[in-house]
Amino acid sequence: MGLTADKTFYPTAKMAMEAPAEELAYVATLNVHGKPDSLCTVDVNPNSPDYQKTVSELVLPNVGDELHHFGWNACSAHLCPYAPHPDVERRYLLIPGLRSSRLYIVDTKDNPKEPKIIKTIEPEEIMEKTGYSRPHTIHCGPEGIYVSALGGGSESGEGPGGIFLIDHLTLDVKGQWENDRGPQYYAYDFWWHLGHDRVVTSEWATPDLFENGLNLEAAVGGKYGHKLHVWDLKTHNHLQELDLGKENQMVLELRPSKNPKNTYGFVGVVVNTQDLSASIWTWYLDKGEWKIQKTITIPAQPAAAEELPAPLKQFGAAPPLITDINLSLDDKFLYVSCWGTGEIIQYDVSDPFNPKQTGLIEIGGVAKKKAHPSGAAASGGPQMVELSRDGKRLYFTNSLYSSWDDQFYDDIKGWFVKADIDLNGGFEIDKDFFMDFGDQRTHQVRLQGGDSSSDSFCFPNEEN
Amino acid sequence: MDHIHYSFFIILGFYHGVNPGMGWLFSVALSMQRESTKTIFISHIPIAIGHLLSLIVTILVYYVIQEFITPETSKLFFALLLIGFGIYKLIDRSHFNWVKMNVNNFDLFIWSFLMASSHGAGLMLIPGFNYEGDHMIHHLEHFGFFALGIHTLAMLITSIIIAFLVYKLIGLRILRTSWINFDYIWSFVLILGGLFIFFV
Repeated sequence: MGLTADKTFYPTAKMAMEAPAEELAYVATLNVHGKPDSLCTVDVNPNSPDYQKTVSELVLPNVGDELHHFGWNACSAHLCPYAPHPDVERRYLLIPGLRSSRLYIVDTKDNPKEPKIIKTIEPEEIMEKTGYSRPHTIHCGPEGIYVSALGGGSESGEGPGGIFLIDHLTLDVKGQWENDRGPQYYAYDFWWHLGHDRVVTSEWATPDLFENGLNLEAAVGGKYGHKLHVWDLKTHNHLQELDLGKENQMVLELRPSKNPKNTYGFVGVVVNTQDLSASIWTWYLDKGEWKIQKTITIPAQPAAAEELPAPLKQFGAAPPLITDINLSLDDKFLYVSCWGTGEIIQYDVSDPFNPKQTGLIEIGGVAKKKAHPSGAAASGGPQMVELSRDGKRLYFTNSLYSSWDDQFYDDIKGWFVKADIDLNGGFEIDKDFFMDFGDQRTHQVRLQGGDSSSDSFCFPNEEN
Repeated sequence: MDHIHYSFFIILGFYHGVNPGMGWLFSVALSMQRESTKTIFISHIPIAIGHLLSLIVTILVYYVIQEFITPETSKLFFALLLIGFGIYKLIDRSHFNWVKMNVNNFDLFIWSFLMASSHGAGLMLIPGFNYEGDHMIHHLEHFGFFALGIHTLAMLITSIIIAFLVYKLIGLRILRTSWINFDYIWSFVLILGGLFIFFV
């Protein structure tokens, strides 16, 4: 515990945009060749002799974890005025293994370039204490560290999935977060409107529907998640269900406005089963009732059958497959990652109900297979996107989930790429930044000191 | 009641008012959320009442205990209690956090009461009641409530001024530049109070 506030905490989202540029990126990599996954530390400081190099690789002690959306133990939410404790340090990364249900905690403080495991929470402990398995996303928040988990607390992981809490001081598993879950069954992402005590959760599926790959038949039958759920942050009770319709399969990443005064946010839908399009929806509060409407549709792109992977040949088109989105800290730009078509699209969402496309970059894709501007071959497509706090640099990787990777792409080779952003709109891939990870498939990225999806804030943006 | 005695309660009132965990920061956040300067003042009413009630409860318990033990035992007991609580707050960093941002005046009152109680705001004032240099302390109805009143008034005025200045002029950047760990200082003051009871 420090004597002063952690310097990476900012009271408002806009103030966090003044943060210095990141010097390190932590990249989770998956190994499908019988070797363990790793947490790689990458030097992203252009003035460093090690720029664009992996300066350390933390090889995990187990095989088959499938690291997913890891996150920090503490963030700007520790400035929240009902219990201000900014002396708590942002130093531990909590790294969930989606396939193993194991959770690693690494310390980045002693040597940020070489994180060390300080604690491993075994699957049995998670299942026993929380009734959940398949931990997926970490967010630090008002009551400690929140973890979404996609499966119930058994080997098979039969639902419901949900959220569990980890104590941010002791790093012990506390237990299930939900009080009354109402009709909620599927889990995936979660985030909140701190100024209004509301939590929003989304739906992917239970393990039986994703561990062995995408079940096309189930998707066509509308069996994957297609709803959002609104909860009371204080009572942990389910309040409302927002159904996007059965044809909108897999409602994944949630990006609420970073300004706690606002009551809207964006969510990405992977695929519409009628026309293979993908979409972005805006949820909002209207006279005490939460509503949702589709605000962006990204159509499938026609492609010859021979260019397409087996599950898509029958359709003659490449679906965009929105797998990740990211929102800048000033709520201005939304970045939408289309893993299927190999595109990231930038939208100006200053008016959240009328997004305007302001930029597009292309790399990989099931049909296009577009190379990186450096000339390097780029397998897979852009998947996890992370935005620097100042909104100027976008980092992204190409692996989704091992069994799904293999359905859509032949032999994905991991890469880590950066794009430079024009704050007036537009962005382009940095042709000099391509890191080849080879057999290690790259997934979630976290930036040292925080990034655009690591923190939440209790104070509205100041006028000036 | 002499000047030193007055100053003791007023200075601690000032100190409690400065502590962001006692209300001014919450008041600023609510004013920003509601875009209302008026909220600075209105939110401080339940904050002050919650604070005062916590003090009254603590001091009443203090007086009740006096009925059953000798002054010497009391001195030792409360000296150890303050020192022990100060050390406990240094070690145990946990805190309640089920109060969230969307609060009404009653929630604020409860929050303030619990914040003051869990931090031992009332305990911190006990040295002022245990001070034997002034025999007035044994007249709760004359002195006790008055002492708690001026303390809370000092706390209220300080808290309002800081909240107003931060909201209107200084801005939230102060949280990044000027934050010091109030929990440490708080524990230190409690321990100091315990030593005072013991030695003075």
